[in-house]
Amino acid sequence: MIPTREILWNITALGPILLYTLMAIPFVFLAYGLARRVRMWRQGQPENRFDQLGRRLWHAILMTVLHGRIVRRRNRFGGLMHLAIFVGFVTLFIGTVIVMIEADITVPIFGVSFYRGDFYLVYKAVMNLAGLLLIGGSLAALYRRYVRRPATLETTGDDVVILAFLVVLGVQGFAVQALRMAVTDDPWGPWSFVSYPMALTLSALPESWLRAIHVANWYIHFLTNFVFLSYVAYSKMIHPFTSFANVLFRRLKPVGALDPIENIEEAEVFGAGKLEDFTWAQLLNVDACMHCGRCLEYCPTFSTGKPLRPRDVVLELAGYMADRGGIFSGELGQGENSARYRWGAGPDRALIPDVVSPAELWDCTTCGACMAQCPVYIEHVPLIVGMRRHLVLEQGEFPEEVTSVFTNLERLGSPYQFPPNQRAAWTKRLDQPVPEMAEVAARGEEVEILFWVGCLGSFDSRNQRTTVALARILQAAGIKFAILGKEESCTGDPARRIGNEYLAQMMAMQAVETLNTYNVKKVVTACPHCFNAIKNEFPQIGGNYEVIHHSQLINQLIAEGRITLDPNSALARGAVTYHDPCYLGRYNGEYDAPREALAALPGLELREMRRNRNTSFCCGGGGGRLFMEETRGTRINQARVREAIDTGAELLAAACPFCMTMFEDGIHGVGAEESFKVLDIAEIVAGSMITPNGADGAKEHGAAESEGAAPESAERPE
Amino acid sequence: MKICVTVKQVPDPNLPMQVDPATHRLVRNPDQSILDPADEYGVETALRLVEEHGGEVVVVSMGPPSAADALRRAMAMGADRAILITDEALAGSDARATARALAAVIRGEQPDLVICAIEATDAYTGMVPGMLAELLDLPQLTFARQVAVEGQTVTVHRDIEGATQVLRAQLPALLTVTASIAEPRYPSFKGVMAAKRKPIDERDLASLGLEAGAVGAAGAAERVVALEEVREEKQGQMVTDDGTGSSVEAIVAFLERIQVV
Amino acid sequence: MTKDDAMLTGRYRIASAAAVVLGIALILLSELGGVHEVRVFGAGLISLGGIGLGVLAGLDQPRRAEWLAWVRDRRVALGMIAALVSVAPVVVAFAAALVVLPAAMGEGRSGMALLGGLIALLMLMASVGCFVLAVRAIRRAARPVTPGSPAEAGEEAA
Repeated sequence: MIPTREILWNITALGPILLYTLMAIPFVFLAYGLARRVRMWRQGQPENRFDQLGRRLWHAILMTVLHGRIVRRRNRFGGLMHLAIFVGFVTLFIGTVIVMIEADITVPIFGVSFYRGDFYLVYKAVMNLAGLLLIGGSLAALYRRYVRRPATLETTGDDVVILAFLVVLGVQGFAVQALRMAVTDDPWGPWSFVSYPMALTLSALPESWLRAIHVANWYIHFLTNFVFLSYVAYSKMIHPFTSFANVLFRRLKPVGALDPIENIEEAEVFGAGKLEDFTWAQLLNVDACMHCGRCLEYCPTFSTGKPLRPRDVVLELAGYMADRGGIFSGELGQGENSARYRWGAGPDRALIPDVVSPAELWDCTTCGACMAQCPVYIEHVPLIVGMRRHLVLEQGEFPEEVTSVFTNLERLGSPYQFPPNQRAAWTKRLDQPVPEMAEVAARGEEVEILFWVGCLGSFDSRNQRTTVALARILQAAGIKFAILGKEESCTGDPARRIGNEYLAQMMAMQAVETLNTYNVKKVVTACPHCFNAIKNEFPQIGGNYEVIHHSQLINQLIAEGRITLDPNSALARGAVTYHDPCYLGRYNGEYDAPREALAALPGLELREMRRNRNTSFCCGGGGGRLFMEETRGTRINQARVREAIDTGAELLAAACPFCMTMFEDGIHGVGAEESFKVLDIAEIVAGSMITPNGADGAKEHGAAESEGAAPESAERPE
Repeated sequence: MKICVTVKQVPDPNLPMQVDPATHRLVRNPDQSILDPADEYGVETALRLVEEHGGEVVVVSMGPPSAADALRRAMAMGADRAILITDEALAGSDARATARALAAVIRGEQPDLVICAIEATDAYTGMVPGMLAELLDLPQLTFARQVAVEGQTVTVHRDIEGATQVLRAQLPALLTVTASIAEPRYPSFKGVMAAKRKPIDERDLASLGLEAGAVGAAGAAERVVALEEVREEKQGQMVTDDGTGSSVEAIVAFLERIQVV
Repeated sequence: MTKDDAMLTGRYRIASAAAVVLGIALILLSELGGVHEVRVFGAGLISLGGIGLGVLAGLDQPRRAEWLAWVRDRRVALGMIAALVSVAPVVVAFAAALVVLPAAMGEGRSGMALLGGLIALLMLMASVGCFVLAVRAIRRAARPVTPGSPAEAGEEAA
């Protein structure tokens, strides 16, 4: 006897008639809901996301079907749970298609049956396993929502209804199979290892009863499926479609580069003040969110109780779009805090401030932790900066503190109120002079590398110490370098991220013009914000340079033996923890160079904070936040300083002047000045150098430090 | 209501000052010149009054053609139009000559209110507003830190030693405003773009009906005879705390005296 | 939408509806006439026609669909009924299995039957549990959506 089964056993002709004719209904609902969303996305601005289709397709498969970002090394539970549900659901779907091919194509048309023998037996076992994965995964998801309840997860009615659907669909499948097998008593029954024991139990019932219950279950099973499929497009279950599309059409440009407003002098719309001002891909972004909350896990504003939660911004926009598009979204219930982003709040709201509040927009540090975590490549920061642009460029609305930043940038080329001719004031602290490009060019000479000091490194007294330290390292290594001096000006990074795109473009163009005048090829900077702007944003306006961060250069100099470190350095002793700057790490992928440079000092023991590398936790200073008051929630910099202190380290190694400023403030804020300090990588290395003339590096460093209290100190503009 | 705000383009006070040793005058480099920050308070005040009561803000300046940039800035903030008095013969004008020229223009505008800064951030004479009020025969309310208009009355609050004085006058009137009156707005990019299309009405002496001898160096009643740079000397002041925190008050008092807080 | 577009859309709509009707006819022919060769074509036509109808309606201007509003207004009641109907048959099946468990264990292979009872019990619990959770979630939907301002929510957080 060849193992197989009778398809449509116990079902009269009415069964397939209903099954196939009613099939039109879920298809109509699914197609309608999807088309409705497509219609909304098409109202967005044009943007080419159809390049490199091969790479896009492979990446989309890798990230969705193959769970590339869904299953994570840390925090496995959610990812594996999703994998179980996904594999279970997809396998069962494929199984259904196989039965359909047998029953509707190969047997009736070609008279060939393959749904038998060994294939059938393996099929049975695999389907039983898939059913278990589906039910198990869904129950695990419910357990997570009701018992584990991570703070980043907010449970809506929709979430629960979907999981209940999945569990019930799986259970129905087993019930139908067990009821059939209880009557047919197949000798190969044990291959269906879940249904088989139940079939044995059920076989104690009279056959007529079994047949009756089986029929009821069969009909309800397919009807439940149809209802579920009809519901898909009106709930977050649309995500298999939208997520795939979103990864497929994701932005392939460097994540650290914001897209400029092209041709800004002639543009008519600046930033996003209406839904339609976003690009179509950004509107797709918004619909791809399935509320997993991963964007919140390392989010500095969520973690410190501020109004901004990147997930909520996305969902606020999604709910608004659903309202505007007349899409009934199946947000059956409401989370505790999130009534505002649900469908049904009304289409006649203004994007800002009714849908997204200015407080949410201004709190963002643009650290990119949300984007690095999002499994479907939603880009929150460009959404937020787009709305900031509208506020700044169209409304002239922004935190009051920022006014002086803008006017100083406009007039003096830096966020601070210092005249440009003081930019090189720090060079007086060095024994050897630091040449300026103008002099070098006048002499007809060239330099190996241009040291881009940056505004904080030039004017802020604390960061001037880092600048001096780096210059000493460069001099000790015998590198021929120069600075721009008074010709240097801001890269435009803070202005751009605050939303003043016009000012940012002017600053960037001025900087590129200066660099091109001197035919600069290679740039080193101690500021990851300058680094990111020069590396990723200057090419947008014809500035192409090789840029390295000072931690990379220092590491290279150590590795090449061009500077010698004192293994007994008094400065580099004890436990140290390193903070990854967002604009160096997450935005530009450099995590190792600073750590390797620290590892070259044997007296240091590197301890990692819980949140490190691409899950680093922002200092709170990016996105122009350094220049704004932190009025909502608790202090981000203090949270990070506490985390650093908790490692047991006494020294925090920084690699960014913004972080430096935030941490100096944070250390005072938590009252740890006595026991804990922050030093830049350059300061640690410079202070541990054995210089060729035999001078003790640490002593010189000490001297530099006391000089650091020089009178010209930059205050945060009020 | 119609408000005329007098404004001036000055060398950016944050940049090092350059003086021409021969003429004892500031070297005015148009690239490094800005709308006088002191005038932004007047523009802001006017804009707020017009936002409340309706009307028009006209900014008036006297200076070289490059001073149009400062007027654009004021219009980017929201002023409706600008008048620039520019004429070779005006070079070297003193406060009286400046007031005459401004008065000639403002008289033609018939405004309800004239708003001036207390003094310009370059030469700091502080005399133009008073002269202007006299020439226009307007009541003048100086050092206003708060202003309100109701019907045909203007009311200002001004600080005097240890008290606040409230003054009231019938419109039309002239005000001078302090830095505490309102935080000037930063022009939105929309505003900057719109300002490029707003009109600047350039007037020369002939159109104002002024005689060349009344203004410019020829009409100046004062001469700058010397201009010496102040040598910057850093003076430290030690405040010793006796352990009770008494130094805090002393430091706050010092900061208040130097007007940092 | 231009007049041509409207005409084209109208034609697609007729074609889609015709596909559904033809598909249903083929299914009837297959199941009642025993011509099973046409079943897959019937199913295909019904699916394509359904997708066509859905896409055309979805891309169209939003219009006030009275029936949709009717459904929306009753989504709580409809959700409850759907939940009950979809769970009832499995509950009957598993409950029956538990009722006859003692009898089944008496028929030899008692260990296997006991395991079957256990699985049935777990599945029953999962079904009933999900039903309860779903009903609670659906009932929460009865609460009106309050268009709370984001600023207020911000205050809450701060």
